[in-house]
Amino acid sequence: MGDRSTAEEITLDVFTLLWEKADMYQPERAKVSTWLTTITRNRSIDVLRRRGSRPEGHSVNLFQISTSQMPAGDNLEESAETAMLRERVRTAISQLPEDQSQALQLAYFRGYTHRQIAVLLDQPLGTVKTRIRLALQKLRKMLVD
Amino acid sequence: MLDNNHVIELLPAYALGCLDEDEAVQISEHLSDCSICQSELDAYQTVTAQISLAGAITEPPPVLKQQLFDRLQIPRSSPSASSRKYRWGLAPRFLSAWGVVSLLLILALSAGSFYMWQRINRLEQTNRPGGMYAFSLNGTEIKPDAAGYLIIGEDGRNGAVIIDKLPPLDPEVEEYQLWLIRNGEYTSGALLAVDEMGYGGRRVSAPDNLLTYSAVSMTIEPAGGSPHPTGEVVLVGALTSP
Repeated sequence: MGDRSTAEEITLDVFTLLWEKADMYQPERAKVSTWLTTITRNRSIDVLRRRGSRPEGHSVNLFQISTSQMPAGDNLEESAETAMLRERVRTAISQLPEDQSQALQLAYFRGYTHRQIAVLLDQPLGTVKTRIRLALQKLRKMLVD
Repeated sequence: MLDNNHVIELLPAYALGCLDEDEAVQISEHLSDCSICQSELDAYQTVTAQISLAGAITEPPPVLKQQLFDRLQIPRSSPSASSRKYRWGLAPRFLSAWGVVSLLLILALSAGSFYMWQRINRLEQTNRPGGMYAFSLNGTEIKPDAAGYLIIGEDGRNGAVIIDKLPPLDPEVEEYQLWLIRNGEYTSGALLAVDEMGYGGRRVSAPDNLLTYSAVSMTIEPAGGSPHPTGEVVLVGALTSP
């Protein structure tokens, strides 16, 4: 989001929503963490798009994200498992072709639509759609299937 | 009208939320009637949720939790500025749900405390036989009944891992690999196999003192091992401070 106060406000909104809509969770479809993350990201994208601007000074380069942070918490076993998964995700993303990774990052972390990414990268819309589709298909193969 | 093939092609983008609004609406309508596409979408949403793990971790400030509790407990008869998102008309359902969730929370916290107390007791009973340290390894969702111990000598220079109730692997194809974890980095500590009873052990070695690592995990890797973890996690353990 680019600023801490907006991120905190979104966090409050998401947990309030979870509290009010807990009966909508379907455990057979996804883990709680997946449901929670999806809601959070959707809310963040809504805010970004309503704001009409992106935090231009803030870029997320997945290849430079520090690996020095272990998640805090009382359950170190769960932390170890989460750290393992994080490493697998970072490895999987690093194996994507540069153009696919770039399109994915713009869509995921900046909330841009297909069309906006096509304009930003000066690429045909169809090319951008294909890159994003292939990126996610590859990640699915490496992480889920 | 969108056919299944066309929708499936767009599901990755739908999961990412980067479709145009009209496309997203069409897919949403299709999903309400198509369990196949819904199942595909669930898989892609699992992937998109995991992408977030690649980002930097930031701990929320403690005051945020209190703000959330304050927001959820604002009485309906005395609205304040922070209650702007609280919707009227939900009190009866909310209060009964609150009662159930409170009870569940109390039970969960009690169970959690009891589990932690048992675990601490177990560590205190086992962690210093002859000056050595013993850290328990626990099975994951892949193999919940698997178990093990990492034994580390008093000076941290030598160690051994013992594992039990893990299925034998084809040694030509796969091996179990132990990882020592510190600050998000993984160092291989041992490669080992188990016998037909699911029991195995191996000496553990690392470039640094074993007691400087904070956690361990065991994965299934290709025969000969991997430079980084790639396979399923079967055991995890925390190396609490001696």
